[in-house]
Amino acid sequence: MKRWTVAMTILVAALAMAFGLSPQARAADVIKWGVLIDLSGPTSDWGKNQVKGQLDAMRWVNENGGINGKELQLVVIDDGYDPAKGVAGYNRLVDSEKVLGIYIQSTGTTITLAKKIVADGVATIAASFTAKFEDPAKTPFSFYVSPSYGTMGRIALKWIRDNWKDKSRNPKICYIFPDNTYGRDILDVCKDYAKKIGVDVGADQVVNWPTKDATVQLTNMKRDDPDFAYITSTAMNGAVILKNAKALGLRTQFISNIRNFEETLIELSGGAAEGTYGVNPIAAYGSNVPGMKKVVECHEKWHPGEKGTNVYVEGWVNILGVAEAMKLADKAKDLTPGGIRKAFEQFKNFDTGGLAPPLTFTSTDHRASMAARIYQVQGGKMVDVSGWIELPKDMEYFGK
Amino acid sequence: MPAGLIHENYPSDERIFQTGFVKAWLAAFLLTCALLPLVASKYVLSTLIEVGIAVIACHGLNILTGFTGQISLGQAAFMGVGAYACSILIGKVGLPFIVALPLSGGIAALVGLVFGTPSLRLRGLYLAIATIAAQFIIQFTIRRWDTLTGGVQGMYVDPGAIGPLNFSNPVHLYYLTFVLAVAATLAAKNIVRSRSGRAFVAIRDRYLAAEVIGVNLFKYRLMSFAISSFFAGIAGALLAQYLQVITHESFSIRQSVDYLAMCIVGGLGHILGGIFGVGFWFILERILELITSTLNTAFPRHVTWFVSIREVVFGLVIILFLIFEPDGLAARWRTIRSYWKLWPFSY
Repeated sequence: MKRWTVAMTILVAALAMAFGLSPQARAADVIKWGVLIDLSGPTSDWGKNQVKGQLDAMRWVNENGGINGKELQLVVIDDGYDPAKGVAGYNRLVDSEKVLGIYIQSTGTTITLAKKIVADGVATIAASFTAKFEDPAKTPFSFYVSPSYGTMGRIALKWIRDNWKDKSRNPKICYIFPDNTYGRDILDVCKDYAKKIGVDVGADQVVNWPTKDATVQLTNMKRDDPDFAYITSTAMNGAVILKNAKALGLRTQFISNIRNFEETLIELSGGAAEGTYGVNPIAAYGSNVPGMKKVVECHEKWHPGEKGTNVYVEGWVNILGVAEAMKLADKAKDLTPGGIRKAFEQFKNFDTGGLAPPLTFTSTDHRASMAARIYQVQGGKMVDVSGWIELPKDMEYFGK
Repeated sequence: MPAGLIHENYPSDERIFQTGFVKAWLAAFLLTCALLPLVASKYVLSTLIEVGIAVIACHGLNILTGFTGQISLGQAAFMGVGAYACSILIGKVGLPFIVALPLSGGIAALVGLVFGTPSLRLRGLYLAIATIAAQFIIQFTIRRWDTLTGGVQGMYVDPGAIGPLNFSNPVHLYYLTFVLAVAATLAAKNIVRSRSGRAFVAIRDRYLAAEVIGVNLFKYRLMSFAISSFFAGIAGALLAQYLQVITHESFSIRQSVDYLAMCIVGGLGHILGGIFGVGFWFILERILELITSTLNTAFPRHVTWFVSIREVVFGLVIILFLIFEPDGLAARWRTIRSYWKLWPFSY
């Protein structure tokens, strides 16, 4: 009984401490933004780099004047890639923490919350760049800071076509993707566009997560012998595909999508990523753009010895955008979730110093931008090989 | 007049609520639960809905694993069957919710029967593997049967309604969950007091002896699977109402493992165990979440340090319970109760 009493005492003490620590008195000049992110679970590598960027950007914003003098505070909750936990976290952020908006990482959580977000009217920034969140008529509170997955897929196709020298035939591309919402997102749009501009499309190759071996699919793909293959995946899984491809000695050139093309891919693939391409609107870490100086400085100061990544830079872009929206909403004396939405919709070529293409949102169109760059891995580094490629902001593939 | 509680016949020994004191406490507890929505915030309410759903699911798992001794790692998948069945019956077939809810439990029970069949031949670890197969097969089916389940895109759930109650309103959903959780508890308690319940326990304790005294192993094992899956189906249908959008990812093996862990912490083979386990689990989880997010806000530079707290603590809790309290919180509750009954003359 004694041991049990001691254990109970410790538990009660821990409880008291937890409630004592919680910010009871909410300072009036703190503005809260929620972050629902995977810090455990299958996509946690990415989440950790993303949240590192976001928190550093928060710190930088606060050290440089804050939100018109008020403090920006990020409330980070780990949802561990579990929709049920995501919903619980969302409820806490919205009801107890009274945040002005939320960043949501995992696609499953985003889909599960889609209805609630519209009903509650909470501005959200998603890591899932699906075009389904572009149309404010359907998802009035959803924003993201990049072109959609589909737009980036089309940018890659345009680059292929524009650089194709052989007049005797069309270039040929195959799509490699996992069998889930994210993997299938771009297929319809990209295949339609490919047909239009004259790029042939080979058979689809499904490579599921977690990827341990893709030799079968790559051998299948060899029958089509495509000039290019477009990988929709994540770095951890995509690295396996690139390694297998190198072992098979394919002549196909690989183009990774944004979630696959990050520094981790280069590390994990052990040299197999050398020479492959990637499409990304976010500036590579350390690249020569005006906004990068502060990012690199902060990273070196606050995380000496760690490696900067483009996911880290993306975290910065997200929070710089959020801070700007908050400043606008604060000026309009409307610091509410609805006010944040209105503020986002006033963005006109908001410049992050080249970290991402200028962001524009309107009340009828939530496409942030239509531009991205093609990078190539050269000597273990991401090198820009195309400059900005921009597609017209027409309505043809809007929301698809 | 005898001091204390002395049973002189079997019916009095088997009575669920043995004293007026217990009844009064229970009435007070139920009244508190019923009045809670008047004061609780939306966040607390949504947590309580999750607790209610988990209680129903854990009672089901407890009957199967705790009372019949058949380890199952597929409880979340059977919940998925119930969730999708209910949503499809309301949305695509157009049945009223009050019909669809028990039907979804029934469908889950049928699926449970199919996957329970190997239990005739398989025991222990091997059965656990077979139920993992159920988990993956069901999740795969949900992912691939596009026309029915919406495939990888997930499925929007039409809110159910019974009379004036509309379950898109969290308060209404809370009352539904609360009533069903109480009903599930009573049902589970009565099942284990019945002839079938005694057969379950006999199978768990020594299946060979049970067979010798005339317990039909196959029948009772399957029955246990069906009852367990029925509970899971009902819990799943409620979870679908709570989440409003369901995808195959909402019913993963991690949830199955979590439910099993809740049962272990609460006490396998005790009806109270399901409730204690779920309560303990959710309180711990929410406190840990509060601690980590507070630490995250206080020390944003070290955000990655604190994320492991949850995993570490939960792992530790399971291990410590298995070592020091293998019968779970329910057994500890019994000890504490008998201690106070005799206090201060505990010798």
